[in-house]
Amino acid sequence: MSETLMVEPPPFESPPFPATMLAGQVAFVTGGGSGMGLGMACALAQAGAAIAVVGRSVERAREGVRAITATGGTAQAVVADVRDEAQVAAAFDAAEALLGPVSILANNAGGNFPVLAEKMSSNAWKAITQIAIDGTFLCSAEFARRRIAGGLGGAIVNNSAQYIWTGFPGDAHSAAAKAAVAGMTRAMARDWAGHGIRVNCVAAGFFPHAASTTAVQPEAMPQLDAMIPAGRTGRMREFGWISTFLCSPLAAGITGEVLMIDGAESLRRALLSPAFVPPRERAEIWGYTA
Amino acid sequence: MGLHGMSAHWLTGRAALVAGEGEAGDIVAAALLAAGASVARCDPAGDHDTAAASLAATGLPVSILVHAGQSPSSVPAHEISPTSWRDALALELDSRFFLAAALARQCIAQKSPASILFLASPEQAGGAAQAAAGGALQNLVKTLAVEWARDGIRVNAIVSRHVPHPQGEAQRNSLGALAAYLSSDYAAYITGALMGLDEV
Repeated sequence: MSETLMVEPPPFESPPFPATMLAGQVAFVTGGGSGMGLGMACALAQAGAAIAVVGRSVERAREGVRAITATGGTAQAVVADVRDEAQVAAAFDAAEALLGPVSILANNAGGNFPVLAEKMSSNAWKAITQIAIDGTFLCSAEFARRRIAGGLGGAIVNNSAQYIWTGFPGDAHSAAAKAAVAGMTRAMARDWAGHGIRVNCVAAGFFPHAASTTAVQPEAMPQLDAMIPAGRTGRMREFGWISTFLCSPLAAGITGEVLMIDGAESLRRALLSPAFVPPRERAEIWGYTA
Repeated sequence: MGLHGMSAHWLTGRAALVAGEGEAGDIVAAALLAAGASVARCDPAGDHDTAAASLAATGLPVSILVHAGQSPSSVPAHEISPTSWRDALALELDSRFFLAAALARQCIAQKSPASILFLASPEQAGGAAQAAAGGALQNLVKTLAVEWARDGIRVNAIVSRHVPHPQGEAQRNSLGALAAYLSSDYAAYITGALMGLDEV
């Protein structure tokens, strides 16, 4: 077997953007306390934005704040359930009282777990779809009303997923939710183009973090790396940086776009693949072996 | 700090070849230069035999290729002559593939990473030749990205109706910044991606 020439992004300490690029800006990051939301929040903070870490759990939001301030950033914890319109408005008020007018919105709040569609409870379906779909809508609309009222522009970045073009068996709730987020990205970009509000989306592959599958099963890591054409899973900093790029003045001419970052994971094909195993017959729903 | 100052270190020490004349090629060449790369230009046309020569003629260890293509023509399909049909496909599709493959051969042999970026108009931006070449290119990007993934060679495209003539300063700056970012190691995990500018 030939060796893999694997390219790593520069270390977190060598970011692409100057520490003053987003100085004076405030970013409202939902789900910013952990996982990919925290990845976005750290990169935005590194570029100079003050961060409102928004989440349902104040403990988790505070953990996010500690992680951001540990890297030299500015952040405050704000509690809200993004599915509740009143809580969203109150969270924007709280963030603005603590940090100043919110000029960047990062919609990350979301969840996911494997479940067969015919066994999915109403609660499971509603939780996953409404946090991502309704949450992104309610936060984006609240953000836009405030920016439009002030005659100010702004930037929104949404967290979608690489499986929005193919679906993902065992993931009916999240497959639907993440595609909805990408669709909304284009519609809102159109709605708010005249107000100087840009809306873009990152469709990410697998970026392991403390709360993801690999944290539970670290032995699965080499198998995941081997499965991906690029030879590795994603590093959280590269996800954070491209999200920050889309919110930055460098992307002032970019809106309504969905950018895929998955090391070509979703493009992998072969004429002959292992025999198809229906999800309900698999050892693990997201896996492939019987 | 100006926008170019923000990207000044992204491509330090790298060498780039920008194929194609016109506004998009000029904007991206300037952005790569501002990001610290050495930049050579070449004619966008070329075939299997001339592609390696185009790379060699730069005298640089090229690890970044940008192919800017040309503005699409909107001649109705029944009025396109066989010659202009073939010319359009040769430039918009064949030459892109031959240059990319020549760079990949070189980099695979040298075990060195590379980034290939195509600037293109979407399928619906012109007539039948553009539709054929545009559709072909988009699926080519996804195919080459996987074929060369383990060689550290990334393949992406900026596909936008604004590529031939970016609208306004913001869009010109963003075309250059996005091209420089995608060509850099900061985008090491972005491959097989098709990205637009503002199609709303």
